[in-house]
Amino acid sequence: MASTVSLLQLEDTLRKVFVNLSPELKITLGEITMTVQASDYLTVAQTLRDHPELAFEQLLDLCGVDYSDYKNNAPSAFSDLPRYAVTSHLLSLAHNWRLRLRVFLLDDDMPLLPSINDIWNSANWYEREAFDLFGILFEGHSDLRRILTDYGFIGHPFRKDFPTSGHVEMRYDEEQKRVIYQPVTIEPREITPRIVREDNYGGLH
Amino acid sequence: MADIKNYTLNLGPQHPAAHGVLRLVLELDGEVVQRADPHIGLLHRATEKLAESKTYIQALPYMDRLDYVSMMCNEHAYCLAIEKLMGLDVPVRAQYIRVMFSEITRMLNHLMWLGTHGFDCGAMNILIYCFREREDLFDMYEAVSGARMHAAYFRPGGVYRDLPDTMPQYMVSKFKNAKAISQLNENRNGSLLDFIDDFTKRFPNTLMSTKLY
Repeated sequence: MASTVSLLQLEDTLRKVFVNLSPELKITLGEITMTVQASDYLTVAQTLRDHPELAFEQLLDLCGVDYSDYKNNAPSAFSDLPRYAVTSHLLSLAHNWRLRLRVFLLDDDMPLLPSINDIWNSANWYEREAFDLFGILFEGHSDLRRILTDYGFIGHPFRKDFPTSGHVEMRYDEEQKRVIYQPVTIEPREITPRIVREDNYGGLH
Repeated sequence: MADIKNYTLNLGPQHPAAHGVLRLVLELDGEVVQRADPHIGLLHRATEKLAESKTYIQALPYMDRLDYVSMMCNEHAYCLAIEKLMGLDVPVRAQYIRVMFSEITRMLNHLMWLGTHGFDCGAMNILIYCFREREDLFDMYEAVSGARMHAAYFRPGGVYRDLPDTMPQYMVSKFKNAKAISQLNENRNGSLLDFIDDFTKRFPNTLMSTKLY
């Protein structure tokens, strides 16, 4: 973890470099998060890699985020924001800095974002993963295929509206003498025990 | 001269020389692989998805299964993350226990790769030596949590329970008589910590023990 001084230094540098874009910068628990607009995403990524004072040579991780539970339930900071975001983690070995870069996707029905595969090679499979699991489309990706799910899989399993047990299950059918798909037969169970406590339990409330 | 086209070859998903399951669609020019398209298979276990519908403690045993040769290290990372987010202070004794068991896990992990790597290179003995030592480390796991692999021993805020005062012992059976059993139990007469201490003394030439003893 970077020390507080260098974190503040990184924050200053980011504010200075991206003065025109006024990105949202937040330091929590010794980590810094920068949120940018989808339209600025590609230029920001390019600058983060190429600017000598930033020099984020490595992209360590990229993943999708589905904020629909935050949006739809109790009012939160995400109520007015789009449903999907893409988060990437960057590392600069030159400066010993780490940065979390977050970008919200404008359209909930067709989440679209430019691919950063040409800036960081490692984004290739991560973007395929985010496409597979969240249905986020990366414009300009050379090979945007599913990566983790089965051949012919339908749906995007990490979206919050995708049930944990899925939609279909697979079994061998004795009559047709082949493997068939059918709707799932298992039902979700309540597994969190309901705890009823008397008032003022343990003097807590 | 005849025009030679590249040859597309399917390798896998299973192959006797491969450790896991990996399918490669290869494009070959003679013996040279020009292009490889890996199909990594159904690797994802959706731990995040499963954790969405569970409490934090219910999700903890999934961490054992993320990497099944560094079980408690993954639990450790999970607990540390929760503690960091909550701003929890963990008792020093629990911190010591967790670091000690993360190190035991690390040794389990190293003995696993060393043994199997030697085995892959054609050495049979190293596998047996490594797995012999792993057995004692698994006994430490079992003494403390009741499980030999997927311990689910750490908790956000500490550990499931304190270290046991006695080390479990072998018992006489129709295969092993009292004399053989007492030999096996020689380093198991004290507490778990005595057993761990005895384990560390098996390696007298390592840097730490030459300084200490």
